Amino acid sequence: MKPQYHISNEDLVLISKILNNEADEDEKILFEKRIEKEPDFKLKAEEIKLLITGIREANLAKEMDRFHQKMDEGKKPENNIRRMNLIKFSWWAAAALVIIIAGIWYYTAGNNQHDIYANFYKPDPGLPTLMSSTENYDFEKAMVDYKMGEYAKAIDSWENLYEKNTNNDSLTYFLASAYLANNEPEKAKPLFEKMLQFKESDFLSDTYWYLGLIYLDENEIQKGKEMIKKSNHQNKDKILDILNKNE
Amino acid sequence: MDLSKVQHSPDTSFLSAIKKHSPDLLEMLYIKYYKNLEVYIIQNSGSEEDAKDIYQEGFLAVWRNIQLEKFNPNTEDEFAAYLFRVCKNKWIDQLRKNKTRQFDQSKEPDTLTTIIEEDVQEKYIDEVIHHFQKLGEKCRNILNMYYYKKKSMKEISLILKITEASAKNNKYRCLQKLREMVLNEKK
Repeated sequence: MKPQYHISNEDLVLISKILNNEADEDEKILFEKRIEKEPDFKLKAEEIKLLITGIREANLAKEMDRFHQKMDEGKKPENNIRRMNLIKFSWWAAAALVIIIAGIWYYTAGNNQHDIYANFYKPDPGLPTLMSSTENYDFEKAMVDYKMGEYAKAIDSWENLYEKNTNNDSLTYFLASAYLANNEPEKAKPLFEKMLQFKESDFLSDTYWYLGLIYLDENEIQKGKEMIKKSNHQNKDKILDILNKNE
Repeated sequence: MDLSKVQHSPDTSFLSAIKKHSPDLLEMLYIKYYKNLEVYIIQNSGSEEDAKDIYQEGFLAVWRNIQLEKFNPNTEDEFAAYLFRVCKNKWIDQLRKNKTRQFDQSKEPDTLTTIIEEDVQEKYIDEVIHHFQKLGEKCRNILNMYYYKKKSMKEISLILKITEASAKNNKYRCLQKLREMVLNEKK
């Protein structure tokens, strides 16, 4: 049966603001008062809630295919990142790539610090399933972006959080990692250097590793070597070996 | 890992976050919990395509139940467990249906998950979804931006290159139009 009441623009705006969490304090008070005093107004609010729920569900149903597509594309972000990084190194990168494919680069002479960065840098994979009840959704949402290879988006979100709290090791580490993956080592470096003060951090070993790679790429060989030595990375001996050979 | 030091607004419980409707949160949840279900369905005679269909159906059902306050998860774990359970039941129903079809081609009675009588609210929402697709593109677009993507009227007016007052007016007209379509159906 068609309802007997008419929903005016004024009613609609107020109810819609409440349901979209946009109402200010005065509007919330007005809404409560009207709900209490006008039986029709309560029915109107309930009906509009269903209307908005339907609109959202219709759009969510359409969006889900996009989520799925994004998930499928996200299965191969590492290759894309690697390709992007290598392009930056132009001829050296092309030479390095050929050598990697041939599987013999390790034994060839002439490896330099740039090769080391290009060949050993792989973005941090990010965190798997995170927190449970009172987690920070902004952090976690950004982690999903990061894992999907959308580094710029992750950087935006983490920068916002970082502005409010510069003393969180996880946040500092992942912001640095996102900058590095986004080909912005100059922004990653000071953040990784800051990480060194978090002596107890779970991310300290990885920090040494990435900072070492950045130093080597900047020709700061001694500093790079020191950092790599301190890390527990599985490839650390390979790098130290190459550096010793080149000395 | 300790994230407790990361500042956040006081009202960040899972239930309130999901009820406030955040498209980013929905995307994150969708992506995060899909794999578990896919593994289950593939291990139980299904394909990736089956997993996608069942998951999308289940995800929408869970989302709607939360909006209608039929299910109120306080934590993300509760949400994830319920989502998995709903999808799993849907898949078991599907398998049973397929099995029955091999022996009996006649129309089968609906199974447990589909037999649940739709109440008035559910019917109203179904009508909205049905008629939303029939709205003009302009209306779908403005309602999507405002109610789903949660863009402000100012942002919408900039995107559509119209004044904020026109954007508000258009949104109102579109919502009324949709409502009329739904109510006319109910007559």
